[in-house]
Amino acid sequence: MTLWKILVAFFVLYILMPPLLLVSISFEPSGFVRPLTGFTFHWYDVMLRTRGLMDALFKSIILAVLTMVITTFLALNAALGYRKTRFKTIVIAIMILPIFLPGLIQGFSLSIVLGQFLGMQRSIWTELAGHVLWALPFAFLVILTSMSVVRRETVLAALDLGANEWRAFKDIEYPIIKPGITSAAIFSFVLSFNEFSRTYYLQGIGPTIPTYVWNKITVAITPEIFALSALTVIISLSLIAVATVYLTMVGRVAEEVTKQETPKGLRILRRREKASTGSALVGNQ
Amino acid sequence: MDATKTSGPFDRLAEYFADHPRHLFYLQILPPLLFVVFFVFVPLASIFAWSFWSVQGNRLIPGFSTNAYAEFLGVGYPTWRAEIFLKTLRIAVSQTLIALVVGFAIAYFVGIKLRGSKYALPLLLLFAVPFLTSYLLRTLSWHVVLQTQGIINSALMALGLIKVPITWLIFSEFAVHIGLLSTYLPFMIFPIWLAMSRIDSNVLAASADLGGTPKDTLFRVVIPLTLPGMLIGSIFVFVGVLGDSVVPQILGGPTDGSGTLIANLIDKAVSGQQYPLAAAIASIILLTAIGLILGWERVFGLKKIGEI
Repeated sequence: MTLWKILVAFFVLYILMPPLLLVSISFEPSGFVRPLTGFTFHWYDVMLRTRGLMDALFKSIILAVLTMVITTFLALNAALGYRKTRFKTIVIAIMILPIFLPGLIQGFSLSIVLGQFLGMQRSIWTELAGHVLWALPFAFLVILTSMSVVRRETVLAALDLGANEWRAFKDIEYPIIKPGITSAAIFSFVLSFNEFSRTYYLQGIGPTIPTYVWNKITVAITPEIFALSALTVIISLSLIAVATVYLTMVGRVAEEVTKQETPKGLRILRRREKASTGSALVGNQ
Repeated sequence: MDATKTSGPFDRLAEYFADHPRHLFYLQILPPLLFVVFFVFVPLASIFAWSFWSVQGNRLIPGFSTNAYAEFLGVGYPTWRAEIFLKTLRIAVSQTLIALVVGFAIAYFVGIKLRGSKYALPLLLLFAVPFLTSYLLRTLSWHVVLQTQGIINSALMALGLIKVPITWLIFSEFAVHIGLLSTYLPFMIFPIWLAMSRIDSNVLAASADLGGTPKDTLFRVVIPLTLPGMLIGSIFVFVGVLGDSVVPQILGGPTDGSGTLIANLIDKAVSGQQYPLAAAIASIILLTAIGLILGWERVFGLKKIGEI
């Protein structure tokens, strides 16, 4: 068992090292890549004064906010509609498929359609389209998953008591899935903020952060790039932490709501349900 | 809370939709679906068409010619592109195998060994975290680690283990694999874990009860049951490598050819305004991806997507 733990620990480090290393380098005074010999904010200072860099940062943030709003709205509606249709597999296949296909190719194809056939110039709107497409499947999945916690009986009870569909949603479902929606929104922001391969062919005037970094490193890697990268990582990781907290709240809010409404019998039933998915060798009591 | 009391402007809308539920349904489901269809499926389908067109100056002209494919495959043209294609396939296959072994091991640990433990889910999410940071920056970070004056070499030299920096760490196929695994490992872990989590604990208990060692259970119960997940993860990784242009450029080497893979060829073609050629290469990648997905569907059926 310890061998397993060592192996998995190694790969956890393997996976987490790259973003964390960037943060470490950004504070390194000498500007070279080496284990920390000191600690300085100097490169962040340089970063804040580099005009092109700040423009890219500003643009990335705006794009991410727009993506967040549009994607969450579309994903919420898609999840709501998905529940009502008989053609569930087709809908999910359409919504999920973009994840499988290389971003570069999606960006390229979209840029040709928008550029040559619709005559659109590349602009923030073309980039926005690419970003929304990238975030949509993930937001959809997150919201769908958070909806699965809502007990159908609760909603049906509300409808029986005379609420129309909007009321049932607003007063029953929405409070439960609100954390899920919030975390989907946060994920959309982070995904857009970091998105590169689709944006590459769709970019309008002025680069986003990843595109800016790409342009710079093909020439030379300078220390303020690490400051920018570290900033991106810190923002992303913080937002992910917040989103994860929200996600765990979905389960808890649902528990609260149903605990108040569920009669004793149903509660016992559910406790039995939970016990049967315990550890492999213990079995049911 | 009286559910029948009306309040607010939405209630009239709600009344309308209560009488016309279909309209609400269409309003909810069509925008996202149409968005994906028009911005993803239509362009991708068009790529296939464009690969047969020709280009004049900057514009694509409709027509029919297999020139682009010939140029790519080296029929009547130099064969260097086809060689790069084969190299990319080779790297994709080996990368998929590596990711399969490592990813399965990790998923097994989290999904079976740690089943019921409160550490299982956080550990799993830990593997998802880097996915949400920028893939370009992660690759850059690996470059920094592997380069000749990078972290690994400096550390080894400081410890006195080597006198001269190891050169094959960077700009080599090794580096490409390291970088690719860093990105695609989570793609492999999650489908496998998902399939594993659906294995009923009772099945595992039964296997042990019938005298099976953990190894037996692994090979005769767990692996067959997680096969769909393993294949989905493999498709993710394989297609991902085919479409990856960043890792080769930052970590790959010009000398052993790992610096240019087919995704880079697409890039070169686009900058040279050879759009049909770019479309041809992209079509081949897309057809490979779709072929693999359809193959999976043929074996396991669409319903499995719903389960997974």
